[in-house]
Amino acid sequence: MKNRSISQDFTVGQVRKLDSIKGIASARLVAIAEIDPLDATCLVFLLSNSTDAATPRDVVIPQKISKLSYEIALMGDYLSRADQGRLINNPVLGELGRDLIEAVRKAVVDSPFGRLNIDETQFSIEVGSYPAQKYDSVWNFRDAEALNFELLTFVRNKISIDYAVKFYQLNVENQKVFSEPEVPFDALRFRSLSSERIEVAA
Amino acid sequence: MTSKVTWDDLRVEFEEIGGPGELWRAEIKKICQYRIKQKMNLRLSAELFGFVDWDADDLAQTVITERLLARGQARFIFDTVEDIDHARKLLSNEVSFTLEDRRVPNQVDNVMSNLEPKLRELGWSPEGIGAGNNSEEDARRITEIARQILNLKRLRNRGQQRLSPLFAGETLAGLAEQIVKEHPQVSAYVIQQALRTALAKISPRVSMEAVGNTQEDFGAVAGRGALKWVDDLDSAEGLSADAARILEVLGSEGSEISFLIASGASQNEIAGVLGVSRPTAVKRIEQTEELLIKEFKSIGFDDDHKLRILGEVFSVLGVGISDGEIIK
Repeated sequence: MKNRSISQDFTVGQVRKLDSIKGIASARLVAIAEIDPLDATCLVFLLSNSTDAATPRDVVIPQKISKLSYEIALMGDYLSRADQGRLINNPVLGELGRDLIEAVRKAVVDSPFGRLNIDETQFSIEVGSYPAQKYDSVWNFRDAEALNFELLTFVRNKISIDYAVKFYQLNVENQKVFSEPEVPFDALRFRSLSSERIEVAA
Repeated sequence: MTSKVTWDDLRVEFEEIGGPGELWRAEIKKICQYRIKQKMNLRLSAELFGFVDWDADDLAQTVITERLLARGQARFIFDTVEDIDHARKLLSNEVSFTLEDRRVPNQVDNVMSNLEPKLRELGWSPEGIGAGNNSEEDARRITEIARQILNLKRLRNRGQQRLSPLFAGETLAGLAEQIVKEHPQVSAYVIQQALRTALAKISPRVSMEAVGNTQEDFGAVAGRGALKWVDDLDSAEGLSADAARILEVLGSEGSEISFLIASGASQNEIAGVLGVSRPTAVKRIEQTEELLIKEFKSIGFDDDHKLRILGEVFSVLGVGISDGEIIK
């Protein structure tokens, strides 16, 4: 039940702060791109305030679209997964809209190199134009942002024992999901083991 | 004894007054003092950044008004930050952005802004594949392009304008062609580095004579075709003597005007270089042309020989002729 209440609070396009990891990585603003209630995670885009240095791989979103108090740059290539638990305690600061997020995801995949091909007028946004050049200050800034984002987020491995444990713990009261095709095999094993224990105890 | 400021202090202050207050200002001022010290160590004048004098209070005020308030960056910091170190890093970024925004364009910016459209016309892109990565290959490119820039004929600066144009438009067009031909994928970063390297060696007051007035000096640019008119050594010596005499009669200003006309400089550009108004420049151009016509009439050779002497004059000035076209 817990995971359901968490997922209900999230919608695609929300701008929230992703909590820092003390001594390891500092907090950043992110935009939610996908929500997975089964393991209580979200795919998130990294946001930056360096709109002056937004490259052709970034999308600059004005205040009137995001409802933030400042212009923000969505860094198209910085998409990764974060625990909902590190977003849930932070308020929703703005909304970028599902359509825009979907368009950016599509553009990033369709054009892995060069300028993002997005209809700027349709979304009232602007694709960055700062020329990306290795080892200038903007390059170093983006490098540091990538490193920090990498530490704040993780890549999910659906066949890992970690994922199975998390899946089982989050869904132990929601038996329906165990009949879904995507359920991890180890999570099914945990469930059968715990069921046996209950039967023995009875 | 001063108490240590924490992020909670800054956050509470922001919440209470709805924006950055005295504690924020104090933090920004500390960063500004550090930045100013760095700039002063580099002997950079405050005027380069649009300030009368280096003053931490002035800079802090500018950061607060132009970045934190006008662009809502105080709110961004408030929304994002969780500890004082992170806040200081973001505030430090804001100080950097403020200084960068206010930086007065320098000669490298000027030349680059004139060169870039010419490069783009030729299909060049500033991103540049595999460039700007500090590799040996880039170092070689920077040196080569810097050498090409140093070999370009520069306009004379008479001290009328601090950033008067260094190169005639057609000279830069020639450089753009050369860059695109020899380094088609070079990035803007590499070109800027090359300009920085080359222009650091150029004094704005260097006159044409000091830059170089022999064919060899301009060989890298003139090259190919530039010596086409000089068929043999004997005739070359005779032509050089005639050309030298004509240049002597023209004087330094006449030579400069001749070069500029041959380089395709506009009347306005020539006026800028001479430090005079356009009508005055037009008058001096006419005087130079009359002087040239008079000198060539006095030579008394046939037209073909006169043309060869003119070719030699241009060659000495750093302009070549190939197949009837002026090249630089």
